[in-house]
Amino acid sequence: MKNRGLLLFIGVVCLMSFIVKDTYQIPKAWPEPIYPIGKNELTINKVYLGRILFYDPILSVNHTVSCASCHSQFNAFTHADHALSHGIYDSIGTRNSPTLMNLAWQPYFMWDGAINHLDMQALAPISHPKEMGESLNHVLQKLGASKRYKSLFYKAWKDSIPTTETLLKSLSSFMLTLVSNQSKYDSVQLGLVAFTDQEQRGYALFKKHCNSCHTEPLFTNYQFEANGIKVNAHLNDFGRYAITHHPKDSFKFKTPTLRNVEYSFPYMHDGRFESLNEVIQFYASSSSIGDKTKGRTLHLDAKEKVDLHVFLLTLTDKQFLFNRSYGYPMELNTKE
Amino acid sequence: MISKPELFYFMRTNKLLCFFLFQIAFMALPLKSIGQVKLSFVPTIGGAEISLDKEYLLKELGKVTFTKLKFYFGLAGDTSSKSYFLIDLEKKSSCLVEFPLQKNSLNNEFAFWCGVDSFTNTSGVYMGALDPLNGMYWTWQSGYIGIKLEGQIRSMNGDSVSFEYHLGGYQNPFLVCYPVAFKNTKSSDLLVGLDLGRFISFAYQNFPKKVMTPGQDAYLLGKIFSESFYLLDNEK
Repeated sequence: MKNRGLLLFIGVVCLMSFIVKDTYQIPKAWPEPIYPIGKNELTINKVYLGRILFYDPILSVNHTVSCASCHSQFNAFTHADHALSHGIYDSIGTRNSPTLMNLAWQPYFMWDGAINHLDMQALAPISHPKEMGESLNHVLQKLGASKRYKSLFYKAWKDSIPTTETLLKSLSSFMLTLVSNQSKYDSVQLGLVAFTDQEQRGYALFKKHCNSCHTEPLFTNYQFEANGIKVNAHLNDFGRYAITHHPKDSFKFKTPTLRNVEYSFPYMHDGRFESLNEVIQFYASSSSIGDKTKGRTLHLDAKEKVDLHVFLLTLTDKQFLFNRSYGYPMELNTKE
Repeated sequence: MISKPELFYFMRTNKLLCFFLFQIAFMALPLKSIGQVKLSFVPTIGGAEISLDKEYLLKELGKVTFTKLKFYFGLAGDTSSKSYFLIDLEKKSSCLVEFPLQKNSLNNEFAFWCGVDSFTNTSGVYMGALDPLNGMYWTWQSGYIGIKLEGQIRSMNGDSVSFEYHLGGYQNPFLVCYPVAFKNTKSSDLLVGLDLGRFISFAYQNFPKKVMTPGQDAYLLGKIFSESFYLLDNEK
């Protein structure tokens, strides 16, 4: 009898593990994801392969730069050491690398929305001469010649030969798991804890001044906005205009999420601000003249600026930032 | 083994059954034997077939050499990835495509589109003809290059100027995906000419020599390219 109970328990656990493996969890009160999960069902093996690929510099032409080089977990999957992205041969790009989280809900990628699907995103950094400088064809050749990857691709896709589709969908699988929804803000929304008075005041200011672009619960509206920052004469970056060629899109950039904003410095598309204080100061100054902020400079006194800052810290999700399943896979330390 | 007299006897005594059997056979037949369309693309200048890396004389411009010609050909009315073919003059075999008979073909009409539709451009990764490995996908931004034509023109005074047309774009108003239709086709075995002389003459004289991003120039050049297809007289 005791044995039968044990067997039943093991059976239920096994069944649960299969369900958990292949189900994409949508946080409560969040919208439906945009990414078509049904076309790339997540499995442990696909996610693991994607994670290995994400951290492996094999994707770059000289094996020195991986996705993680510009997207470090402790930085909310952006970088900290440069205002602009840093690629092979110490090349410096033209934009700050964006954070990576909650990507299933993101309709466009890159600051100008140049990429329209998560599966196609990785092609851009892999082939960019100032990022990884590699060709898709050569990447597939390298992976196909690797014992490790033959085995990993077989486990994930039942085919040891990597293809464009299996490579890109594996990377997507890992990136789709980068979900941040366990900040203090989230706990407050679930009624598990309460804001402090100061956080509550900051939240009220946020809803009044910031929420129209950094819309809850994802803290972005995924739209392209001109927030009024001066054009960097060296970069001469026209933002969304370069994609649509429509004058109304000049100097517009995608609204970034504010989740984990405490850790995602430097800020803005060109990484010009190093601290949150600088960002708040910018919006509270008269130089903020973008479409939505035009004539609506935040009139915040010193105390309100601190309140707003304190609220933004409640968007920090340490379970996300230090989740080991998102981190560097130790398998890469072992020789094939 | 059934003998002939036995077969005739069976048919006489089971007329209704035989009628249905013939009906089924008749319905199945077009799918196998006459249900395929064969289409050969033939790039031409002045009606004569051309090849890559050879010089051809164009009265208005000088001598033109094409080093690359690739374009997507899609079956009209179908947005599934299976409906796309990549024509690449470097691979002669890709210039001959076969596909199942389309409904409009029954009315002696034949239609396809040149370029890649918006839906396919925004639906993630595809394999086969649409695999980004084929060099017809931009990487700095999303989207297929629907038409790629490269080469150089040597003018009469000896100056050589190269041209690169990478034409694509999936967002309105600059979508590069144009329908091409032929009426009164006599057979399902077609020779379709592509008048590159007409295209390059117009493009070279009216547009920049390098158009490699989506936008108005790519949109207009894509339209002119799609209008350069014609049905060759010698339909098989």
